[in-house]
Amino acid sequence: MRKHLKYGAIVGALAAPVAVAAIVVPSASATGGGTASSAFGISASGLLTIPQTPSVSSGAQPSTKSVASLPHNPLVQLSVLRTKAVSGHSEASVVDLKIAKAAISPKAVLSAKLITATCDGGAGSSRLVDVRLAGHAIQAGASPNSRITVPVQGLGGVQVTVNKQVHNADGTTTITGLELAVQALGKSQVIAISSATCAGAPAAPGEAPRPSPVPSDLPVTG
Amino acid sequence: MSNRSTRARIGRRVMVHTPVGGSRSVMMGAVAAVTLATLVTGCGGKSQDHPSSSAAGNPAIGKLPQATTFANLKNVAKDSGADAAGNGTVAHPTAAVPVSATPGGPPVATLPDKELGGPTWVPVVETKPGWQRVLLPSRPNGATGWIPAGKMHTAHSPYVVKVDTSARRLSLLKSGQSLGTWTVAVGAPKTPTPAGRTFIMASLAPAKATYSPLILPVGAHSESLDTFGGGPGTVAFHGWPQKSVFGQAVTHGCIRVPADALQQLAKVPLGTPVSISN
Repeated sequence: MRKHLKYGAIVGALAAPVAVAAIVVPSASATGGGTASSAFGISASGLLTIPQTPSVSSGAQPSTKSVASLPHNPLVQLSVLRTKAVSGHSEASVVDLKIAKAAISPKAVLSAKLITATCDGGAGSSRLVDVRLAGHAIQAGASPNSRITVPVQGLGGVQVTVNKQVHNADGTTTITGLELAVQALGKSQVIAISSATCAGAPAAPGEAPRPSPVPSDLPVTG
Repeated sequence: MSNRSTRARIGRRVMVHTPVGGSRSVMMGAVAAVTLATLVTGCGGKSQDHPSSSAAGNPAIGKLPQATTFANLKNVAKDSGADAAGNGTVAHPTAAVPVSATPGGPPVATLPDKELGGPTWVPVVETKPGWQRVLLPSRPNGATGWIPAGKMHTAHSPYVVKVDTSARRLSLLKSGQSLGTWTVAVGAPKTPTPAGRTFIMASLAPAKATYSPLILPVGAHSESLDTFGGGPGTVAFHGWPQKSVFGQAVTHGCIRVPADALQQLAKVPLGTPVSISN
């Protein structure tokens, strides 16, 4: 019973910002189809859904967005969300992030001074500054798709993937600075922080064609 | 936009020469100069009628000057030449594309899809998010412009052409490996071959191969001649009937190459970087 109450509290806390976020960002904009670039600062799916905020795509204007903070809620606090997407390049950053501080314990489940993701020509990188998961420091220069699981009181194992890099079927690559996954009430809850998607590497263009001489002339400087 | 008719003004110095390597400088009225030059020059036949705007469907960029070999562009960025060979990326606009002086800046010219009757190919010398900087085939030498990424078809040229005007040597490399080095003729002291980074702009087969079966104009122009033979002073690679010229600085800026060098250069894709040093 106590367990259920605790999960209930968590879900309630998770649910709170949904409505708020939905007001701030009416809908998650499309990622832009084809090989468009896109980025967002935060999103959540599962029991709690937070639209991609703020979402930008190279196929739409404006190409950059900033949000000073999310409306006050007991789950997610942050200072700045900033995103940018142009053709072949996208980036996202989140500053002074704290997740589930009030809902779980006086200590934040996850805190970070800065989490960024950058995608350029299909290649990505991320930057983590002072990231702590349940008090454990997370390595800043993590290699792609580094994953750790830390037990958190009341939540069980919280899985964090840093510098997550996924090659999508449409040829784009998505870099997520940090992704947090937790099982709550038997369902998966995923929160993505700083995500950037861009077109796959145009790095291997075909060899340029051998020229076909044009039957023509030009007076050149002999 | 500048073209040959505006460049060849009355009293403007116009150069003509014969295939035997001799040259003469004449001062004459523009019309007579162009007509005479066209008739007697050994370094080119009739000059091209460069196309009118092909920026169909975009009236805004249709009013801008076209970045062709006939143009003298204002307000374009100069090539820094930081990396002489670049990374081999060459780009072809499938339709006229706007050219800006800075990434995100207003268009200052357009790059047409055709140059001298063939496809336009230019080397990409710098990339920034959403933008590609290319060398332009127009005056002034070293003119570059920024084009929105995704507007051009890109490809890779493994070739690099190097010309050392002091040594009068031409080297052709493919994927870093030498395909050959030749002794060539370069610009005379008063009409030097301009140094800097340029590219192979076109491949032309003249109907009357007076002095070369193939003309390979590059993006650069003579710094000392505003016009030549009715053309805009474009520098080119081409052959020459007399082998005695190779190793000499006797041309009006062009690079005369031996037949086997021309044969190799004929295979080099348009847009391939050409590095000229002195």
